[in-house]
Amino acid sequence: MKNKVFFGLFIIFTTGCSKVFLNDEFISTLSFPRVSQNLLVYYHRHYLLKNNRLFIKTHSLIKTGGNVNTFPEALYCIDGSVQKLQQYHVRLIHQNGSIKTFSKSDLLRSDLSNSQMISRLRINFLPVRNELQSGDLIETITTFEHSLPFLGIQFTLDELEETAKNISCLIEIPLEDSLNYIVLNDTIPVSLVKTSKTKTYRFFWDSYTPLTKSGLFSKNNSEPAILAQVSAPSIFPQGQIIQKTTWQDFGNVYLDMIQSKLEISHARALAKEITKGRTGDKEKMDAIAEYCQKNIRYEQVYIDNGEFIPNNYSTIMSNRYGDCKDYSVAMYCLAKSIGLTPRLAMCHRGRGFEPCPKLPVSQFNHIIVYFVDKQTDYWYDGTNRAGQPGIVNVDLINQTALVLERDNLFLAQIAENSGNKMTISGNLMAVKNDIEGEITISLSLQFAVQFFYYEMHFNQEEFKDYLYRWSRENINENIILKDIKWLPEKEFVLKFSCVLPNSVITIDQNVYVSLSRIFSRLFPSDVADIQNNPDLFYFPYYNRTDLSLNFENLFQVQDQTEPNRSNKNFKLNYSYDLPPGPFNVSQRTDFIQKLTTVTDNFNNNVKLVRMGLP
Amino acid sequence: MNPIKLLFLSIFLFSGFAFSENFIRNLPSEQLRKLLTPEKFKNMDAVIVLKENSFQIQESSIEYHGISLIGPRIQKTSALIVKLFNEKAVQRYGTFEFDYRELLGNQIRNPFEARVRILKESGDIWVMPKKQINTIVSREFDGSPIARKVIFKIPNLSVGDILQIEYSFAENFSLASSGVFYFHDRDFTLFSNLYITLPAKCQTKFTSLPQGKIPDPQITQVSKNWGAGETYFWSLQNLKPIPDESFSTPFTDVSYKTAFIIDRWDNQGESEANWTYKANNFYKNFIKKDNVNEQQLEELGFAGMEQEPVGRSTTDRLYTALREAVSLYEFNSLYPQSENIKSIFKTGKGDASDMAYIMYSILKKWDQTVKIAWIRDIRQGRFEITIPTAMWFDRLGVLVTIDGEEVLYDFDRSVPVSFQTPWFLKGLNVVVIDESGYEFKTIGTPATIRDNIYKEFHHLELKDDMSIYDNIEFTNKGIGAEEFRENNYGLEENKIIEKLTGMLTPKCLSSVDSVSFNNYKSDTKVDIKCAGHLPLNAIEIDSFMVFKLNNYTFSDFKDKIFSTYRQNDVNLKTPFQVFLTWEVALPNGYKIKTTLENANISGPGHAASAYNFYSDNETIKISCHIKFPEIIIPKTQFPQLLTFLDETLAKINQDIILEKEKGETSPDSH
Repeated sequence: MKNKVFFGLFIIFTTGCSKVFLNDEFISTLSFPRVSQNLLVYYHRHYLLKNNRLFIKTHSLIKTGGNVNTFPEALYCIDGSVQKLQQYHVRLIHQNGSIKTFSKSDLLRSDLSNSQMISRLRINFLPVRNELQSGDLIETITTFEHSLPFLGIQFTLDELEETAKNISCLIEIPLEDSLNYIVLNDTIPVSLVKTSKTKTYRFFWDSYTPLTKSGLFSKNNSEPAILAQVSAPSIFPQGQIIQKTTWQDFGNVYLDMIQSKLEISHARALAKEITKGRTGDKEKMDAIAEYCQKNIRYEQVYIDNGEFIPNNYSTIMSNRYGDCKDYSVAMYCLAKSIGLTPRLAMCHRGRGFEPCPKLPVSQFNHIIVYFVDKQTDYWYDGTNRAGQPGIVNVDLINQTALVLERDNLFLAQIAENSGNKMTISGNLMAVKNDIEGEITISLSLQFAVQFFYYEMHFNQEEFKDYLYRWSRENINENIILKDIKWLPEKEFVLKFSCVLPNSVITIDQNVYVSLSRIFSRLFPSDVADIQNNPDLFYFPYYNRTDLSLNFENLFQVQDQTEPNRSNKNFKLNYSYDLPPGPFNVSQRTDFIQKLTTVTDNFNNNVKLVRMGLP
Repeated sequence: MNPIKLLFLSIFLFSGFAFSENFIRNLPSEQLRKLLTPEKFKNMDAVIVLKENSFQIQESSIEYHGISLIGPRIQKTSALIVKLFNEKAVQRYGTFEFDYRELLGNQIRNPFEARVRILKESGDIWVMPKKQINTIVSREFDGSPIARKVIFKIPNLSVGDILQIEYSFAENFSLASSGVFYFHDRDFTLFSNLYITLPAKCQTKFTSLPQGKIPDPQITQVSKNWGAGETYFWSLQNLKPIPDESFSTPFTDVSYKTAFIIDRWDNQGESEANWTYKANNFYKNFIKKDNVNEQQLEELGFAGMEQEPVGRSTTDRLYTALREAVSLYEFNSLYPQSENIKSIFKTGKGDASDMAYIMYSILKKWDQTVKIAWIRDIRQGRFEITIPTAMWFDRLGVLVTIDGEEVLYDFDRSVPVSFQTPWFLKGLNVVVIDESGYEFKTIGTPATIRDNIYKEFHHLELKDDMSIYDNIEFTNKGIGAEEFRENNYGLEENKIIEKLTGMLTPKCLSSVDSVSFNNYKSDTKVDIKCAGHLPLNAIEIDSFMVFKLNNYTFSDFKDKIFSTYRQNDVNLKTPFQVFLTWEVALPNGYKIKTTLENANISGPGHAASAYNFYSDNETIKISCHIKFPEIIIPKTQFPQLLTFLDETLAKINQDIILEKEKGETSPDSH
């Protein structure tokens, strides 16, 4: 079967290049199992580097199922300034043999700009459902031109979103260029076909079924994927043919593209004013970051190639709005203008993502600023908008960053701040099966970032609402809070009176208390699934916590008859410090051991007696 | 306050700055600015100093290739002055977005103009350059624009600023015979003004609601030409915000409003500002047009029915056949494709009004007593009888009288294919139209808690490893069933399963092993079955086993309604009740340690919950019946409502404690 498909593809590309659609002979080789739902029976992606331009062609064939009304209203594709639609062809092959074709001129277009994002993105759609009957075939061919080929090639099967058969990915480059590639999460072979002018790498899958959605602790890019980067003078001009593109080449191209945006001289006057009175480099950098965070609001407005290319410094400071790239350019220019040495850094926001650093292919969705002071790394993220400068949010913990500097680029880790901590202390009482009392929660460094942000963002009452919901999500799902107060200083401190319903177990004269009952959301109570998870990648909970609880009316059984038992009321103190991830194989084992220990302690029920108040 | 005095007061307050040639309104005076502080407007993101709308129908002349085209034009002008108290307000007001149609493409563009300026806390004024006002083609067909959007971000905007945005838009060759304007907004509004200028000689009816709350308009004569007649002016002050909260009455119902309806365009002609005219006009233009032919009837399975008696069962079958023949659009228009029924049958697609018209035509053909009904979906708000305009209504229904009983058939996507009157039609006021005119009708009686039931049944098994396996059955009737149908209309089975799995994990189940559901499109109830493990295992303490129950429906409702700060009354939309039941097979060797007490808890709006616990040697049975018989719960009672919800949940979440029977060693379920 596989050979038939290869042969069929060969036929298409060697003799059928003038034809757009699949020929009947080839379609007849495809199997169409009887299914009631729509089925993607053929999916072919072709990356073509030709005349210094990168084209991406996608050719698919769908067989409609029993209920054609479940087929989407229209076929659609999105284009914009980075990926521009060049060609569009659709062919409907009806069961009765009749055929209808459509092309780019039949598309309706709608701009996707809205209050969240203004960009050049457009949705192009073709209403087809009116034309369909059960059992029809829908063949679609789209060709885009990618305006930034240096970003590399990424083909991942999760873009299919549904079960599919006969999936192929071809990468065709000039004969004189080189291709470096990696197959991720799979072991399929590659075939190479050369002609007099080009060489084509082929990857093929018989069938594909989407993986079950990954759990909370798993990495979220587990699908088979191809990463590839072309070593071509047209993309990475080096003056000579190179065999393997490096991250340095990648970084240099990007820096060349944004060089005109970095108007360092324009920033000098403001930078001096902002840093007036600050002595050390770190203090100056902090002042610059604070200024940018406070005076530039977050908005997504993209000019041509704007998803990757920032605005220039003058525009950013004139607009007083921008996204992560713009914040970083502003901070960079201000810092550089007074002699500091910041560097732009690309990274991926979101901890479930495992990047592949072996190939210089863009896997980034965020830009921040990297700064070293006295051999300590600091990372400045303008989108935080508030909080301690140089500290990034938890979703960047231990993420890989590409630090950009011409001819001195390197990959680094945005290390977890070892001072991250959540401290919970409380004076509590058991009242029937509930716990009532006063709790103070203190969050430091990276744990505090989101709170500073929302405290700045919301009005008082809405922020209180946010804290209440956060408590129910992260402390106890049934917690009832009263008198919520907060202190946003260096740490974020939250104080409240509370009731934790059904948090103790009463059996006869004894009261049983465990951390897992009191703080039912703070830590996973059942770790069996986590231990057995082959995709275990990171720990999403607060990983460093000190707990100190004082129970005024509960006593250890042996202390209940003590003459000074008023000083012997039960105190529950516990601390844990777990690695946050990402984990490699050996780190996983170590993490699971520690996790199990903490879980056992959390689930440990301490037998107590109740004295004094009921 | 006298409107004239108000007008002068507002001018006085705004006259602190030099008059700007471009802006129609001045910025607030320093005296007023000092009053605009977060301390004075607690818990508000922003305060609207001025919200002003102007609506004008005028005559205009457009030069097109050397020809003067003269015709009516609708001119809308808007002014907004708002003080921003926090970043959320900066984000909300920092984007301007305005969509409009472009019926004549690039040939004759509808003019749009905007002006933006910012008064900083320092007193500086920054005016946005015109070049930053960005207009894009939002939709085009065959290279020609059919809709445009003005969208831009406002630069240089910060907390503490006062933002002023004014825009004017003209729609060429357009007329409107009615319009409704809302005075309130999502934020507190100091001054809300409305100007309506209609052509001279127009006789117009104005209605303001609620009655007695809005003063009579100030009227000024602009011109005696057709193009510009009298200007009517209203101004209200200090309007409380109507924020977008969960379970709230629609904005259009709460806000004060003024509507205009043109009764006569000149001194002659028929009076139009009445329901009779609207109904007759609609009937003449949209009803009794194209008819269903025999072939189409045959395709539906109803050939040759003219001579047959048509009872309820046949009418229901007809409804079902039409629902199954056609896929319904998500959005409806009041106006059916009554002149081209063939296209609906050919494409197999239509909206609720199309299908209502087809059913009406068929029943008329069979000489049945049938009328068309205008439906305003109560989920969007209510229509006002004192404002006769078809604008209120979003779709048609079919009112059929069968054996003396009236049934309103509605083709909304949430209604089951085997027709059953949905909760949102019960007690609904509709306008019924036929060849003789119109009448107002109330459809049946409002829904009660018997109509809207959520049932959730758990069968729990305690496993050897202390895990708890749960087989859950959901049976929803009424609002729960209708929401499910609407949310899943057109989705494939695997997508629905994916959605249900996401809904249940991780709070209700740690993982879902199986999910199935009934033929919900056709059945009047929605039944869902699923199975999986509870997130929490049972705990062993000495000779005891302890575990808790879980639930989805009531916990989810509590999460959705929860807020620390309620600004408007709660509107539950319809009365409903929830039945939660748990059955737990006692593991071998265990008996119940403590029988939990039954409890009755009451809440505001006669909300009540009844918790019952029963156990024997083999089984524990727990039920919790929660009812909400009243729709509106005043905001002053919202804390009591939250207390009621928390107390009921606390009762449900109590520990169930089992004790090992003497001599027994390991737990196995019966």
